[in-house]
Amino acid sequence: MSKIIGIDLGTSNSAAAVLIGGRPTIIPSAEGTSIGGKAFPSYVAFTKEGQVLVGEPAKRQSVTNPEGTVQGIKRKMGTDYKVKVYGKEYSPEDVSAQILRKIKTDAETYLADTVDKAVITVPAYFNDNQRQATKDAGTIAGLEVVRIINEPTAAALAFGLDKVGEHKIMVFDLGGGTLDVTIMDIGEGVFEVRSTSGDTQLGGRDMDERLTNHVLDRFKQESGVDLRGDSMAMQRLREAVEVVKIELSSVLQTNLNLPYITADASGPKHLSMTLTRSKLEELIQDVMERCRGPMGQALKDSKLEKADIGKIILVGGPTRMPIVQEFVKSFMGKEIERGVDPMECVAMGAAIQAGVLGGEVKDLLLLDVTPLSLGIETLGAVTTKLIERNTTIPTRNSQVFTTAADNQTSVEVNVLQGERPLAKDNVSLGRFTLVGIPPAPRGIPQVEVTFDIDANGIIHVSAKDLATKKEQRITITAPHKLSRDEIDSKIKDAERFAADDLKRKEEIEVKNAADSLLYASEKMLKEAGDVATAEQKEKIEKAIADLKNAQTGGDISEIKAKTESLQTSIYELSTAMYQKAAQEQQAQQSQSAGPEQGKEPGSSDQTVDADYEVVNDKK
Amino acid sequence: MQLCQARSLSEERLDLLMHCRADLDNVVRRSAREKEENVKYASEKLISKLLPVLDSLDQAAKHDEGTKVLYAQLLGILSAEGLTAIDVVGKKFDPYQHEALIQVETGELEEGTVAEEIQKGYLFNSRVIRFSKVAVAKPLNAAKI
Repeated sequence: MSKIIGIDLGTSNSAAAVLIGGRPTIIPSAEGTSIGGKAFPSYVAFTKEGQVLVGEPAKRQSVTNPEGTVQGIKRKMGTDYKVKVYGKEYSPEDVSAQILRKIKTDAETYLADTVDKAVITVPAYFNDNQRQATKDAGTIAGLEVVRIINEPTAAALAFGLDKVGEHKIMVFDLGGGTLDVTIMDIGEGVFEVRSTSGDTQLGGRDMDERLTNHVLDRFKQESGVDLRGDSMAMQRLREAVEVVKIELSSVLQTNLNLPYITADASGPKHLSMTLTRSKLEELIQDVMERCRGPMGQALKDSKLEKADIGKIILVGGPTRMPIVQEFVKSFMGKEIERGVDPMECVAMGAAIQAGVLGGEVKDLLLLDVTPLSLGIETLGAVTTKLIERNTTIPTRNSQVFTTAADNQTSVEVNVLQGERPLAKDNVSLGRFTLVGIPPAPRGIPQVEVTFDIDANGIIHVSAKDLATKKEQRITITAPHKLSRDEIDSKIKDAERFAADDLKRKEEIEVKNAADSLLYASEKMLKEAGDVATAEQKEKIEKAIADLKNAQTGGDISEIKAKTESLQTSIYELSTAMYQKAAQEQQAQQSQSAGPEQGKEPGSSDQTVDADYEVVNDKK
Repeated sequence: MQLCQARSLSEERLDLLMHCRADLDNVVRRSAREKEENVKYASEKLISKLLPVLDSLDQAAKHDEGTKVLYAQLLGILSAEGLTAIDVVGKKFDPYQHEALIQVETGELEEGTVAEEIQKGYLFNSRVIRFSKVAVAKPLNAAKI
């Protein structure tokens, strides 16, 4: 069974999405992404040679072929209007079908599968004729339209508003050239439109025009040159202005630099000016004011007060601008919903609806994530995470740990949940002990700890000694079902204490590293006594004594410094040992290296291993 | 009855499982392909942002000898990375490489060919990163017919 795709067939831009692994994903246009995002312009062109172009290429050639280029055909859907091109007639359905066919092809390339079913969105105010025409366009394009849904409904689906009980919402959709305001009731999976209002000639294009004119006027004032007649300069300017407009959504001011924009008798002229967000906002104030009417009208028609509206959703590229968000917020006296890209949310909502119809969205498939990280306690009461928070379940992960002391025959595994680096700050979900590890020097035994969370959120933790294959396990059912608030407060705690915690964790790590190095150094001195010169030995012994002193003193930076100097002395010795080993190897090629040499790399690595050691029983 | 239910449930689940597997398989393949492309086009974003600088230097080079050398130097480095200018004037207009801004009347060129380059377009490793902005020829007196 192939997938059903969701299509946002817009007046100025169109986009499509599909559910992948339960998440709506935008299908990229074959021509690549444009400055505004992944949508493409709803342009269709018929050339003299009989070629059909859709999207960006159609837009790019529109100047050379104005009679063959069609844009905004959506406004004609459901009417008897005919496009006449080079002696042929096309209905609005035929033209829309070209756009849908391109989407079908792009989707098939992206999914590597055939696509023959779709959900298409239409404005809430579309009548039966217009809806039927949209459906017919799908049929012409080879797509079975399994459902037509309203654009504001799709947006609400993308924001997940169908899952939060009964309420009333406002969808404010400001596109490139149109404004649609819709007020709806949502409850129990039913979406009902109460009222719609709008302005068919208002949008982002008006804003670009205001800003471009402002820059042109200022340049004329400063240099005396009007760039309006210079097509090359105008092209550079238009592109730069669009970039500036987008930048001003995230920064308060930016520079517009176009050196050598033009030249007059006095020589070359450069355009360089600073533009502020407040200036842009001032320039588009009248555009914003024109939104006020439709919003008030929609409210009035719905017979609701502002206070009755539970949620507000913004749709369309221009709503990314802070001033637009602020305007809607202050008009309604309420925060707006965030989290879904306003240019993609309609296509995404259509994809969600498609997933429901295709049977892909079911409780069984609504995958959960672990709200908090899971791990175990390791040497120094530190938390070592095995599964990071927000990992999609089911999942599993294993890691090999080792012992912290010589002849340690058991390890205790303390299963922890939480974000804090130290074990005591996190919640212990359970603990168990793996016994019967054969006595060995520390760092030698290998204990594999495995975390396995199944689809129901049940955690299985096992520890296995890789030498004896002895295994011990624990199953944690319903691990402290935390409420959303509890989870949030835990995550906030982790952020608040992050600096302190990190410092403490570092201190413990420094101490652990010192411990390991001391152990390794003493062992090395014992085993490699014959290679070391008396001078080397003395140096190392002194460094060991220094470090031990520092440990009793307890000053972290001191311990760190002494650890480093001991390390340096040890490296000198180990280098000498390797050289000797190499010489020996050359001398007696048939014989393998002695057992001592085999161990050395391991012992000098010890400092690195320290934080992987499992907490021991003595604790 | 129960057996039937259990059987249909198991079939349904198996079906879902196969879909999940297929989904995963496709995601893995797609992400491998995207990764490959990302490596190939890693510098594309930076180079795209440098194009306005290249434009400015190109303009400045018309006035200043030193800048001409500077322009050639930068262009040389970017060319070595895979940047090539799109050849336009006299070519047939191609909406997959060119963007038409205006039409100009001319008797010399065939209709539909590029008469003038308004802004240079560039290819990066054979992918268009900026379309050539051009003026396209139309025959003289076309308006009068």
